[in-house]
Amino acid sequence: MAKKNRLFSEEAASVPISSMIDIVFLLIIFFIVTATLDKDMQDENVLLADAPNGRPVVKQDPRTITINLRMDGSMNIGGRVMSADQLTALLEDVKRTTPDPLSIPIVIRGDRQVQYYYGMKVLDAIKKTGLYKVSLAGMQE
Amino acid sequence: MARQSQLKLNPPPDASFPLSGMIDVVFLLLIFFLVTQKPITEEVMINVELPAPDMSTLAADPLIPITIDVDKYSRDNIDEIDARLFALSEQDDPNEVLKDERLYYSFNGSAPMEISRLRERLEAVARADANSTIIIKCDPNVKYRKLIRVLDLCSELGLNSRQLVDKVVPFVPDPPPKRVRR
Repeated sequence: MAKKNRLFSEEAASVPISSMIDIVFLLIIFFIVTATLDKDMQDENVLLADAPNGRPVVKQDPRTITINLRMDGSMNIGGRVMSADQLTALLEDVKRTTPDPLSIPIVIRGDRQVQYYYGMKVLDAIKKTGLYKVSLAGMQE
Repeated sequence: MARQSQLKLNPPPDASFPLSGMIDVVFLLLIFFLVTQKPITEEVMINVELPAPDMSTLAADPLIPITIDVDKYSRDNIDEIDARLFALSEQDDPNEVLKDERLYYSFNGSAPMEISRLRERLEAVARADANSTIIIKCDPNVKYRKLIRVLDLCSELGLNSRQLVDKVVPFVPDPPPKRVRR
């Protein structure tokens, strides 16, 4: 009789809700963190060109300057739209204030549809400052 | 005595959380974040070298650089054009049809060629000396993806020394772009 009571006690039938919530909260926090990570520098309106053989970004230098180049030819850094002259001024500023400016990586994220003329303008602006560690971004499916 | 009866009338409230309602909300949030996550496309980098403003590094380079021109005649949908070239019948005059549809990559000033031909040439270069400097002159009128395609081809073949050089030709802007965003 005692055995039967233990088998069908109310405790055994309930789902362990509190530990389930723990897991679910962990998942939520994971998704929130990964959703906001690195998105601040990348323009969502830029559709990159396919480059199946490019070098994957393993460990990105935190000083990386990302320049987004949209389909209409406008460029922005972290959403701040700027002209080529403003870009040169900004890079000059960076060059003056950072200890080892020549090692700062610059990434150009150009839209696949933009004409190269606009990319050339960005490259010219970078060239004027003498920063040479430039790479172009593509994507792998 | 009066106090005791009051206690009996208002029993202490249940101290536990409304767990099931909380779980509902949390699952909703979880599903929201799962859905809004973008499909994973990995971003990759292609390194390029820029010539010094006075071009002195170019002149000092003892190797004969290999130049690739990317010209504006290259149309956007490469595969489609390839298919159409393949489907050409013998009666058509190829020169007329191909005049503005061929992909104009040229190699060391050669006649324009398709990307597959360019690839053969670059493979030969890579076999001879993978360290040779490839100079890419890109027409400002072409789409950016053309340039990325050539650069990607170079990195596939292990040609890692690439310089981007401007080609000075008049620029004609495309009509304003239209793209349907998903």
